[in-house]
Amino acid sequence: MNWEVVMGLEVHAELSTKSKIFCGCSTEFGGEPNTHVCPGCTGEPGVLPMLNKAVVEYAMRLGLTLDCDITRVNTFDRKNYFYPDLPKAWQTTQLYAPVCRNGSVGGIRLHQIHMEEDAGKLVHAPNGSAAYMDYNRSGTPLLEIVTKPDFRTTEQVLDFLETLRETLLYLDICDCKMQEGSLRCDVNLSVRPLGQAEFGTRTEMKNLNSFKAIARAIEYESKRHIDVITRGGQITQETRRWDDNKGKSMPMRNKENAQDYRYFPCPDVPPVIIDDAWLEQVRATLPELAAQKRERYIGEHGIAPKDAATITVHKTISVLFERLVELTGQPKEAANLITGELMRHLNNTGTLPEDLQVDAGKLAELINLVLAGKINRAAYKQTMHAVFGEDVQPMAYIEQNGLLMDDNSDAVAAAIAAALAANPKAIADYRGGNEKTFGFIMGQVMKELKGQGNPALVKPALEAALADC
Amino acid sequence: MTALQLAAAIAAKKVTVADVTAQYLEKARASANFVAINESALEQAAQVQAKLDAGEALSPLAGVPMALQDNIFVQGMPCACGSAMLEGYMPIFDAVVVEKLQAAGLIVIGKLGMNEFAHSPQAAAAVTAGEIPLALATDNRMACAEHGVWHIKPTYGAVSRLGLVAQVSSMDAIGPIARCVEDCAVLLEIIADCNVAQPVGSNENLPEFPHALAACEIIACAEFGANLQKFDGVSLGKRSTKAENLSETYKFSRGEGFGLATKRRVLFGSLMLAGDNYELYYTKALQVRGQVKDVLTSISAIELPVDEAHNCLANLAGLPAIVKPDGQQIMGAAFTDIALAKGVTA
Repeated sequence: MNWEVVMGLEVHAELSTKSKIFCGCSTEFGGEPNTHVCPGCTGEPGVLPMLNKAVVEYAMRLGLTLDCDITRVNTFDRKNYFYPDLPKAWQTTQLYAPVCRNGSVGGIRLHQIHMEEDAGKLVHAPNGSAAYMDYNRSGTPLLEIVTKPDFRTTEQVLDFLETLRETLLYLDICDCKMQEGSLRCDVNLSVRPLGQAEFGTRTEMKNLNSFKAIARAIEYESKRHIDVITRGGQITQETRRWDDNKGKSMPMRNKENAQDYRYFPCPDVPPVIIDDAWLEQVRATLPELAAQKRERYIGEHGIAPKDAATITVHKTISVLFERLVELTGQPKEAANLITGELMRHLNNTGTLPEDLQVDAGKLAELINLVLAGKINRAAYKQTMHAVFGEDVQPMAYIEQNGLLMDDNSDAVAAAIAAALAANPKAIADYRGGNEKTFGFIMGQVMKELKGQGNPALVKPALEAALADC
Repeated sequence: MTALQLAAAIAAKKVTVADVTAQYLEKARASANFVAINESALEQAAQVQAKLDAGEALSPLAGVPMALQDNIFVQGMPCACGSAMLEGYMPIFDAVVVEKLQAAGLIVIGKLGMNEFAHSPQAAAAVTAGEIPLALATDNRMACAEHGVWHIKPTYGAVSRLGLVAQVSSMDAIGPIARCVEDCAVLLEIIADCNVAQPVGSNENLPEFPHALAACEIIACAEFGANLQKFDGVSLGKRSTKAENLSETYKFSRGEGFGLATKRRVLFGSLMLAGDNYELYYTKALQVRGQVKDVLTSISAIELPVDEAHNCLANLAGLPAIVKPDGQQIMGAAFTDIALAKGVTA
């Protein structure tokens, strides 16, 4: 029998607002435990939430970009459960009036997007004797993006997540670091015989910490469903935890599956009204997205589509590109720098694009130097890597390492004479009509000049010398 | 002597703030209604006296001692809400009302006991007995009517709830208790923002709201139960020594920490939100609340008995209600508390 896998996603994006959703504490990742906390984060009684307006605006940005219907009267609800990482014993979320409904991403329909707060973290002692609470993350704003069950293949899931990630990054609302948990994805999955209209029983998989884990988990879980059903068994509707080390999904404790969250409207957060003026104000500040940038780079700057894709792989890279263009007026040089040496640097050092820190001004200076004929291409690359690696001052580095091109015509003449004297055979070949030998002789001259020769000067001088011979 | 008369005597330098404070500290120490004493009250009295001597105008109640129900935070004083669960709990910040009292030069003498997470008969008794001229408590109409003492349950939202242990978040309102309505009104003006002129509304007879009390109970218990969940013996609330794992920590700590009346309200509230009950009961309760609000927005001032069936109306609609010593209450329009109190005087 042919089986069809049906999937829907629940994606949690931690928002990169400066402060938390209901208090003024920092949202910065990490830090000493319990240093980004106030009585609200630790659940002390007597504290009231103050909604962070930026959270609503971030939700509006995403909703407008993904063509969602924006809810005008937003309310918040309490989701009640007992767990040590949730000191208030309720999570403030949106059940009854999520901020966005409908919309789509690359053909996948969205069910809703809602605002909510994150919980703290439990830190277990290595010997298992104790657990400690770290409430730094408590109250960090989240958007939960819920899709309809529109996925049929792993590729669709990964494409969707890639596009969503790119959108969140370009909207500047989430840093999307899966390893830090700022982008998390749960997969709802069921299988059915191809052609059957009804959905099968679904399971929900949690703890998927990378795109790779998601792909493996889908593979494993769909196979498990098919195996169970083929052997005459039944799938239990449950939440399962993906163990990436074991390559297996395991049911979470029954208690968590039988949870009744007793949702009710949160009496402490008044409704948030989004009026036309506010919506239009946010719409007017929507930035250019990756796809629009690619189009513009190709159309406006004549960049090859493949290179435009590389440049927009992460927002930090496209920002660098645009800055270089602005400083040098040389889009092709800037594109070559990024797709060539910069990508090599990222690969060689294992640096993620989002962690890249480089002074665009220094790179622009290098581009200007090479185009002005002050340094040659080899020196350009060498200095560039020194800028990437050690953030050196380009001109100082070039001077210290003797990389400035030698424009001294006496030195050039001497080098040409030496090269001609040392390579009689090549000269004979050249004269015999083999013009390819010119490159070899040119190389020998440059070698005499220790790489500091300016090709723009050397070439005509060498041509003249060869003609005179 | 009323609180205003006492303040006038202080202003006229007939008595010092320190003398008055010492006198009431002594009374409070001897009273069973008090559960905590502010040991720095005399220090604060000296500071207020110094300001008054320097000619600073603090408020019409400057220098007057007062007490707080034990669900309002004063940094450095325990706050137990009458519950074994919160025995020894130390708030880490002052309630907004406490900051306002301090700025107005009132001296907090101590905390008054209360039924667990509920009313404070002690607050009503202490004011009645002259153990303290003024007190602040959350909706204490029943106890105050019984004791024949004035009390304003203010408009919901007029008084900050920051630093008040939440019981019923959508109804909690801190209000004054005093032996005359003028004292109540002046104290309320210090802590609240509810000085809207009395609107010309209708004073027709109230329609019957047959489901108002049930709706109020459902909403109040649901919020109450949710608000008390955080007291679970993990980071808040007294942890049971019998517990050997996480679920036992919850079970035993809450089992030992809460009294029967509290448990019944928590369980009833949880039940009203569980599964299909949300649709069957909770949403209907919200509908009733909406109807009550709609009808009551147009009222001006209505006299009602103080009992559960009538108290729930002001709670559902968030309206102010003034309890008189005769055991009746006057319910008025939102944010007209002060005007309403002045009307009662006349």
